[in-house]
Amino acid sequence: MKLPPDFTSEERLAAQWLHRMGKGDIPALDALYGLYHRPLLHLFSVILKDDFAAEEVLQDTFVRVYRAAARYDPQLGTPFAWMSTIGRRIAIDRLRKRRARPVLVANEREQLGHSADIGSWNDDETPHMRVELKWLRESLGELPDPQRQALELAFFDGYTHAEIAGKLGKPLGTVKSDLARGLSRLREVHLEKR
Amino acid sequence: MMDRQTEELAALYVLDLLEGQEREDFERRLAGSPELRRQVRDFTRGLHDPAAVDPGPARWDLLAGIHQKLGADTPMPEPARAGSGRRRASLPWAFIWASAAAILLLMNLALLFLLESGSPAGKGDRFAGIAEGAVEDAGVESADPDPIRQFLEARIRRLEGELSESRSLLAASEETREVLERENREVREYNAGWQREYHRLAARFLPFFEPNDGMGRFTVIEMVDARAFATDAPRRGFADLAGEFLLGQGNIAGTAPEDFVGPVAAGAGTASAASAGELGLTPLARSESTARSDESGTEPVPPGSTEAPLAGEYGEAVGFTVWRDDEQKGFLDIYNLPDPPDGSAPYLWVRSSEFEDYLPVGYLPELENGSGSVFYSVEEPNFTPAEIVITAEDAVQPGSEPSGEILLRGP
Repeated sequence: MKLPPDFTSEERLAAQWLHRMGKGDIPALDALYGLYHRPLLHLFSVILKDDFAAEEVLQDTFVRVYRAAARYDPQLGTPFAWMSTIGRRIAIDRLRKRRARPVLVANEREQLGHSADIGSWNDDETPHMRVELKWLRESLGELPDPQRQALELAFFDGYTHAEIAGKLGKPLGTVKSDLARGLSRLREVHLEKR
Repeated sequence: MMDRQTEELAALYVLDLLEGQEREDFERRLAGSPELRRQVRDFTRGLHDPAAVDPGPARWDLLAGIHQKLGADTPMPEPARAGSGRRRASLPWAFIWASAAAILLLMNLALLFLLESGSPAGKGDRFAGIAEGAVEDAGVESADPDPIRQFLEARIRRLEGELSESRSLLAASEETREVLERENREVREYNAGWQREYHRLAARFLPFFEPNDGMGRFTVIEMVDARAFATDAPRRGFADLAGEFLLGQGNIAGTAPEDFVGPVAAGAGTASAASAGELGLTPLARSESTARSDESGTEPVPPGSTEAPLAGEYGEAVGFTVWRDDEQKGFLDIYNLPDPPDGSAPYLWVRSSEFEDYLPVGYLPELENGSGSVFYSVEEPNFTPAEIVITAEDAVQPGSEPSGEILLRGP
């Protein structure tokens, strides 16, 4: 298995475990679980804002990763990025199903976006969640608003680029451009912080 | 240099926003373009960095569920079966190393014993699995027993060193496991303590907030001390928990937690609820403020109980308020409020999202050990608090705005 030269030693190890999992190696699954289950669980908790659901998504993710491990291609991304994409997809599916349910009842005095409002306490802006999201929010906070908004809607809320365009009232091309520029800037911020 | 459209496609791919044919086409391009692959990896590193996450505790207990879902008939690793997953991460390797080193050491010691007891070691003999070439590589001639002995002694010394290192590793891993288990136990106990706190809390304030029209609207704000506020330290989650309890009552929507216990403390909030309509502050009588109750678990508080939450148990200065819009009154619960400087007293201020200035509410009543509950109201129609702060103000003449040391603040 040829690995990209810029893989870290941890990523190399994880890629090898994925390779072994592709051949049915359960201990390799255990090892990979040990390496990545905590950041993944954290990510799913942030997306779903529900610890129990996040735990279920974590388990489903590793099941799916195990079954798809043979298809992992290190040339297309790091093991963690590949796994978190699979898991994020599962989490977003759940989020969409949840969105389809009736929302909390709000009376006429309800003010959405109220930071201390338990009527919108699933909102990312509650102080509790602000802390949880700190790791990425800090980096996102350094982006211009349009890029940050587009990335948050895409990454945390699972909206498609068309939905984001609709929500923000912007042309699709502008949203795509914001997403690309946002990711570029995020990469720069990441490098600066390392 | 990558064109803008390709870069945008790479961004959409990383964000998992490409689907169907578009995704397949992109992956084909990706396979043939090292530059594009590098771009994708660069994008993912900014977004998916496991090291940038504060990961929280390990959850080995969830691994068994994965095995179960996979239908894996492979036996679970021993530590996971024992419910102590952390051991599995380090113990087996240390043990394997130690065992291997011990076996090799014994074999070499046996060989050395044979050599010293006069067993002939002729040219071309192989020693304890060491090929002749290996001996020669070590700079000795295999025909000479002394260099061979030297070689073996050197090897035994090295193996002894490795064995000692493995033993240290084994001991360290055992020690680490014990420390982690102890920490886990402490965390569990700590969490259980807070869980009990939440239940008692619900029992106390739910009677007050029980809706009479099925459409109450509440605002919950959690408060921390000035240092925690400045560093944006993690909150205890009171606000979320209080929100859960309120939602669980069915007055807004949602499902009650299975172990939901309130409202059970009959009459606990009624006395103060009756006076909460008055302006200013009314302390809610409570008995012992720091009663530690190990036997209580998460059992419902018996009706009529006035037992206070475990206010002083953890020594943290925290608090939260629940504000009821339709009745325009608030419940404030405080734990371990620091003593204000001499000559000053804790003073409560609130601010709505519509105004920049804080509204003065009043001095807090004297709280036992800095812990207690208070009901309050504000002389402002249709008020909803967005921020709340307790400061140490002049004990006789408070100013018109917060000017003293901040004791608690939220959100």
